[in-house]
Amino acid sequence: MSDRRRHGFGQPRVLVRETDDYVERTPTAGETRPPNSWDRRLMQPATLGLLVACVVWPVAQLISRMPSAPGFVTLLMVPVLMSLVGLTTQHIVVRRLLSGSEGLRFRLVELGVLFLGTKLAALASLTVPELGQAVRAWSASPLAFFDTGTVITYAIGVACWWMGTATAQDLDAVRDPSLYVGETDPRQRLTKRYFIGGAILMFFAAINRVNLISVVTLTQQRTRSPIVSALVYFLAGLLMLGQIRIARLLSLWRRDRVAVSPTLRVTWPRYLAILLAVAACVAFVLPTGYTIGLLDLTAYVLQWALALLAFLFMIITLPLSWLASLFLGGEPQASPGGLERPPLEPPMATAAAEPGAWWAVLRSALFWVVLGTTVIYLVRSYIRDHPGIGEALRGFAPLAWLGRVWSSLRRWLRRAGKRVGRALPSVVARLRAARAERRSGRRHGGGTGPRERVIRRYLETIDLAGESGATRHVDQTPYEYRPRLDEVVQGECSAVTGLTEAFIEARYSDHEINAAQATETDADAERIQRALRRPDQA
Amino acid sequence: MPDLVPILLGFFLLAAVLRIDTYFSLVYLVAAAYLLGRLWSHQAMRQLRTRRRLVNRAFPGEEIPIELEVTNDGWLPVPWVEMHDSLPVEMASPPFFRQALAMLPRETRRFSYRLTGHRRGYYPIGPMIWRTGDLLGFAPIQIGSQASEYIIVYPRVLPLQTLGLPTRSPLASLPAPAPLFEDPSRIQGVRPYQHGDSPRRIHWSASASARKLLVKRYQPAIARETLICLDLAQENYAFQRLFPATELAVVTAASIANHIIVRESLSVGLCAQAIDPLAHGLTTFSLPPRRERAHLMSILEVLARAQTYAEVSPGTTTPVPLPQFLREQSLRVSWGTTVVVITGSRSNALTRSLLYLKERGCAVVLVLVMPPPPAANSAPHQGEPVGVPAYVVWREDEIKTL
Repeated sequence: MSDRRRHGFGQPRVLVRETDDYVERTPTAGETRPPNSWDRRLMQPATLGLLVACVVWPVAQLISRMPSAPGFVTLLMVPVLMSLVGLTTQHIVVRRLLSGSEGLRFRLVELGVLFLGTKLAALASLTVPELGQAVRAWSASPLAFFDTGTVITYAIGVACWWMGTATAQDLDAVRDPSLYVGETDPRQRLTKRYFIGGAILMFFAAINRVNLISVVTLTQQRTRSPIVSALVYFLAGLLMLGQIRIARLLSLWRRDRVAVSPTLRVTWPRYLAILLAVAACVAFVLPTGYTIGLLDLTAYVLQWALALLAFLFMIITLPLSWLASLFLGGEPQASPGGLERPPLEPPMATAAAEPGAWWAVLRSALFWVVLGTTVIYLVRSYIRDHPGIGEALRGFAPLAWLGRVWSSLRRWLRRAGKRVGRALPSVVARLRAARAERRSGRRHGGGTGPRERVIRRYLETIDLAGESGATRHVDQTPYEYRPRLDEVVQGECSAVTGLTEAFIEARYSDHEINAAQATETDADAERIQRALRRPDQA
Repeated sequence: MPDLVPILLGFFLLAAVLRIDTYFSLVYLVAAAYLLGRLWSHQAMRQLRTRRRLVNRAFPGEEIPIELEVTNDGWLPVPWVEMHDSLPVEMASPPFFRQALAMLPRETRRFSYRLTGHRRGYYPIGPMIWRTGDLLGFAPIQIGSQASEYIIVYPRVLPLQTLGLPTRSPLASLPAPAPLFEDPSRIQGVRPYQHGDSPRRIHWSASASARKLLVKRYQPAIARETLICLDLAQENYAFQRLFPATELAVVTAASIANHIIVRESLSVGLCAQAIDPLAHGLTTFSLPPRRERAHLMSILEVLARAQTYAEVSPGTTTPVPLPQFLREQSLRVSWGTTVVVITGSRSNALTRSLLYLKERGCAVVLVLVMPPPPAANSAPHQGEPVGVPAYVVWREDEIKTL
């Protein structure tokens, strides 16, 4: 019966927390609770029932294998129903203002009734003759009423009932910040309970699937089959924690008279779903088996690095070996100094040799990167959150020494970097100057022999002619350029012809150029250059 | 919240020992939810920007609109943020603005509220604090803040009918050559042009009307200067009516300053000892006489901030008694200045200081903010026998008849 109906045509009345007790009275404006009936009547029981079912599932699976144990369905359903009963009766206890001996009596009665219900559920699976036999056995021995199967089911059910009661209490506290002031945050208790339930689930689900002896002897094989109850439990639990979070925030904001934007309630489930979806994707991508361990991965990376170094070494030494073969007159050696050419393909790890190994390597690398980053992040955050630990670590002598070494190394690297930065421009300038000098020398015929002398004289002459306006284009041959030079130095055609011919001979012939030819070229070049330097040429 | 790290490590160890793939996935799921939530809340805090827009000057009774702007600068949405802006209790009820909201990427939200300046003062607005966190409650709450801003509510200014303050200037005894001490902005009249008059003084429009050259006559340049000395020592006012009396004294000072600058276009200054919330202690205000409107606003700002002080306020410098303070201030005023002393009581020491001011060439007026004596409508002026006029003010309407 609703409050309004129970109190006739008067104002609706609610239960209000006073300083020392609850009273039922007409609420003031600030005390009106938000309409949350669907949440309290549907969502809370459904979520709790689902989570309890997930936890009890592997327990029921395990127990149902034992001899004289109740059936799986009974073992599953009774605790779930008892948890829901606990959730509901907690609301009744609060509404009826039961406390002290009155509340204890109510609870004892409830537990008694629940035992009877458990017993009935156990009997429901018996046939009529078995039922008669069981009833007769009770008369012979009253203790037969408390058979093992019923007691086990009831024990699990009581644990779930207590969990339902405590959860209902905490959910009330989440929605009403005035409750249990000064105690632990109800969200904290709910979260702790959630993880404890998860641990129980994981433990019993593992017992159902793995061989404990092989676990102890470290010969346990990988279990790939998914445990649906665990997945459902953790996902539903995270969703529940998200909803508890918003419920708590809303209640605190209501108490503190904070105006809440209507969009916040709408966007919260979306953001929560997105967060969990991304987290689920991450969980799916990260590796779940020992395809390649950390050491294997390290070895694999090192092998690749060595192979790369060997390949580079081979590329560098190959021209040298080819040159050596020219001098020695033999066939080019494959590897100078008797070195074997390193294999281009790195030795592959066993796991990586299989088809799809790159994916395993990628996942493994990703895993270790994520794990390493996470560990570093967590340790760093933890030390930041606990400054005392940071100070203690800094005070620990070996760590302090390592810290100093690291600091000095960083300083040295920074200084070295600065020095290199300062020195680099001058080094680059010097290298450029040397390169330009080499180029210039090569162009003007580096060397002192007659051939180089002839070439140098010709190049000097065309440089001078270029300054006088008769620039030689890069695509012009000496013969093509000769008429242009004739125009500039009129009257010195014979010298121009002689210089050009001498240059062509010196530049492109294999035979010896003697000193007399060079001297003759010098004379021709001198005549041309003199003509180019005449004032009328300028 | 329980520390998740040991829990996750325990689960990971369990998964590693049992070699169950699902358990690894579960550990990754919870760890990813934790880390992503934490990173998200960190990022949300970094990308939130707030801004407060307000006009930080107001007169009593005026409403001050305040606009708060919250911007999410980043590409990530902010799942929730709670804003809290503290407001002065004298201006708003409840004395805060609180809002919880969710923000989309690149979204800007604006909120506005109004404050009312009921009484003069210097009021802090803020600091504004905002909190945000993750969706699951695993990560700690992130808190950001924006510095306070201040609103000045000027004292009430009452119109004075005539301000009959005595003056010694302009006096003929000031042998000032006319061109130097004439004020070109205060034309007294015209006179016929004489040989030697500057062409700048010719009043061209009047000359055209009169068909002969007329030159302007200016008022003497040395205008009357007034210095208002406001006493805010609590012991000089009746204890039972301390607050209304001191407020009335401030209103009197503001009204006199307003009348002199706005109506008479003359110079006025202010000196007072008072607690300044801006300086967090006893401060001596000394504004020399000037006549600009901006100067009037400076005087009103000082009067808005000034608060009464006890004889020895804890943590402040020792105040100078009013008689001595007047003697110190007299060294800074020029001859002929009218000194208006506003206080709540009379004493022999004060009378001696007033006489001292008079001897130094100042015209002195005493304004007493106190209940009138029962026997007479006009106050028995203790200062009058020595030539110091005194006025008694106890209601606001009495200020108008000064």
